[in-house]
Amino acid sequence: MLRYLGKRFLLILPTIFVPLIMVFLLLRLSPGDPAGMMLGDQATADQIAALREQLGLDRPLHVQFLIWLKGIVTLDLGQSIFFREPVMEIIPRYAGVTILLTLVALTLAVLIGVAMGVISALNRNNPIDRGVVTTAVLGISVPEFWFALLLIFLFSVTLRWFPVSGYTPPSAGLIAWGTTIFLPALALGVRQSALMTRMMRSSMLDVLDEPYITTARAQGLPERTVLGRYAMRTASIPVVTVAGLSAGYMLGGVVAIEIIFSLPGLGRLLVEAVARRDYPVVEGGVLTIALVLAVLNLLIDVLYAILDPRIRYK
Amino acid sequence: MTRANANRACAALLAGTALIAGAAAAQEQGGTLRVGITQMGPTPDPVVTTFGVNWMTAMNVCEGLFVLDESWTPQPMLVEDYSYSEDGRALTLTLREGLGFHSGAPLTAADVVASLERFRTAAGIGASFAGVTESIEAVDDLTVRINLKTQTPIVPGLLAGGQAVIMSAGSIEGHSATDAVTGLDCTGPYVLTDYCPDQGVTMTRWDDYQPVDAPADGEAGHKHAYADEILFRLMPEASVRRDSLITGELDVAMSLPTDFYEQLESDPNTRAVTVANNQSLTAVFNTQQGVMSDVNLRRAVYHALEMEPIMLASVGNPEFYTIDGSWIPDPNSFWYTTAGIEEFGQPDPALVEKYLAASDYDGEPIRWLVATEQYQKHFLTAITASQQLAEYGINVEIIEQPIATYLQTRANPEAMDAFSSFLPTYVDPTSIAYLTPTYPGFWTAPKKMELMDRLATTIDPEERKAIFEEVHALAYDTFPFIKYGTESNMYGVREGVQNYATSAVGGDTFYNFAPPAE
Repeated sequence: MLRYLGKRFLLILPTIFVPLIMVFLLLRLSPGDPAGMMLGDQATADQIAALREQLGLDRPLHVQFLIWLKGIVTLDLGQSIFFREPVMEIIPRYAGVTILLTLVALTLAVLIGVAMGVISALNRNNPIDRGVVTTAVLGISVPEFWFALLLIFLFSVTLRWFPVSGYTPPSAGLIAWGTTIFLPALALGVRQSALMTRMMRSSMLDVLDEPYITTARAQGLPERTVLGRYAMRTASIPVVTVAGLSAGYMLGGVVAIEIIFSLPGLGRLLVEAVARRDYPVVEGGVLTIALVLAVLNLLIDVLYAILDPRIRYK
Repeated sequence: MTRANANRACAALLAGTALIAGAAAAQEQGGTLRVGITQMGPTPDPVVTTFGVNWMTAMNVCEGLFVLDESWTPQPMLVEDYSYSEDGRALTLTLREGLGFHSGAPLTAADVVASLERFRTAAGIGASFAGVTESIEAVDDLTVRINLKTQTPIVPGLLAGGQAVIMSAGSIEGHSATDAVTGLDCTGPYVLTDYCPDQGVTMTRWDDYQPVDAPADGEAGHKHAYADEILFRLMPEASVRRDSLITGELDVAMSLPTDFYEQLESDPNTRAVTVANNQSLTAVFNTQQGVMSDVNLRRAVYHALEMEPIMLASVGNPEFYTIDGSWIPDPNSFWYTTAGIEEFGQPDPALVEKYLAASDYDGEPIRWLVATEQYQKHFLTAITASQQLAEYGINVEIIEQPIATYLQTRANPEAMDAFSSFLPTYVDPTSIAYLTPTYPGFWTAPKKMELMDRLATTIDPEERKAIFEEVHALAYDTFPFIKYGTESNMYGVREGVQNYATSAVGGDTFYNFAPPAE
């Protein structure tokens, strides 16, 4: 197992390095440059050229690449062109919000998805099952941004239970943090919870037909033990896979939610940085997301082994 | 403030935001004014960018030597008195006595020289200022002399813009015009307490502020500083700004779509505020090369357009635009003119046929740039115009690009024929971006260049107005750019907010807004 983990850790390096090189090239080869965005729409060509020289953007691409590569190897991601502070200081400020939001959304998605999937499977083909399946189809079909606006209208504007937007860090109190994170997390997690509901239902139905479940029941074990200890544990494996994929999807799709709820997260930072052509921030953001995804996938692989005794890594 | 402290302050600011919903309290002075804004720059320094939206913080924290009154006329702010030398080549400014910076340092001529030297190397208006000035010197502690390359009356106007702010010499030492400062040590009625990029701004009233002893008039005159604190909250999504206003989380919601007008007016706690004559919606043509360098094709395009449907498509509500051809959108401005305009806004098919026949145009597509981020103003005007032009066989290829790409493409005369844009009221016509020969569109007609030179060096205001009217008429004969109409701006205020502005002058200043009483 340890050898396997070591190998996987080594594989993370190319996994994050390849997208980083692609981002480096795509940013510099696409039209638009930071100097023009920094000086604004009334700057003349001469002023933009002077700033390009000052920022080192007039150097040949291969020279820029070597400077960038040296920075990556020495863990120096450079300085933001716009914020004028090191990327290594900017990214954690924004990434913290996004990671917390994703974790809460994932937790909500798993809790709702597993519970609804089990309820649906245990009520196969009756009205409860149909109701859950219909709701799940709706959940998959609803765009997140629209669902977010709907949540704001219902819970913030009409009921006034939550603030419309803004973010309170956990250090200011868990309740205050919870009121600002709940609606965004629900909006972000709803589609994934619908997917997990369907996955859990289908997986649970398969497992309930397995001979070892029949054996467990024949041995007189209580139904709660049969379901909780034997059926759900096995049925959860596909859901764990979906959860891993969901985390990746959420990290990528968090932008719209962060914009709607005015959350100072990494997704919004990245979109702004791409629009401004703030190369070091974009590269730092992509590196962070790639790293988080790679580690998350590794954790999920390890979880397989914990959930299913038949899986052993060599 | 150290970076760590700044980060902690940002966290506290965020915490405060969520907890203060609906809890503003103020009468004469006091309370917190909470403003939902659409955009903010990575730093509060206005000198480093020509994007006006990034000057908003500095407009409330800093002051310039001059500011604008309701008629867009420069009025002294930090200056007590100013005069030109006999030959008109030196402008001597005397500063108001007893003024100081937020840091406690006194305002001296040395600070003014340092700030103006930095401004001179900035893009936009700074470059125009550099173009007319030879040197700036401190005569004594309160006297500054600006030596001019030639006699010109435009300097007060150039110094009345949002970028020409005076900061203490110590705070900008070592910072070029492209190297932003992170704090603002200025003289304005509010102190910048926190600036959290992509989140918000906190400004606290400065009790030692010394206002001008004159009634408030645009940005000029007395600054009341009613609120103890002004908070800017970045909310890019318009519906979120509206909802936050309705729920009482905001007192002011900036730049709302006019679709929200009825909703704000029907809610007993909110009100829609219209800022009329805010800016012109326009298209600019490449006069240097390509298909649109043909003056007869440009004339044909202008006479083919019916402006009403174009403005309706963009703005959506006829109460929020006027079909007016003046290149100075605000009629309050001294420079407002309709010189050269006949029956603005109506198509004339006979003239279209005439000018198309006189042109070399043979149906090739006109490459028309629009910025994705300006969908309402750029794309909708361009698509409606292109449909009207298609009826005459004039083909438009709309090229939609992100703003960074759009800015780069339109600067390349080989890459575009036209682009959609907009233009606010400028304090002086010499500052109008479209009239600068290096601005994309590159209008360098000899007649216009000669008129602009005369405009820059003529002193008498009435004579200058007559010259500008000639430029205006020339633009309506050769159409280096066209205007569709004048657009209003709309923002929302909470019931109880007092003294809110309804003029495009000083639209980003909040020191005269009083927050709602509890």
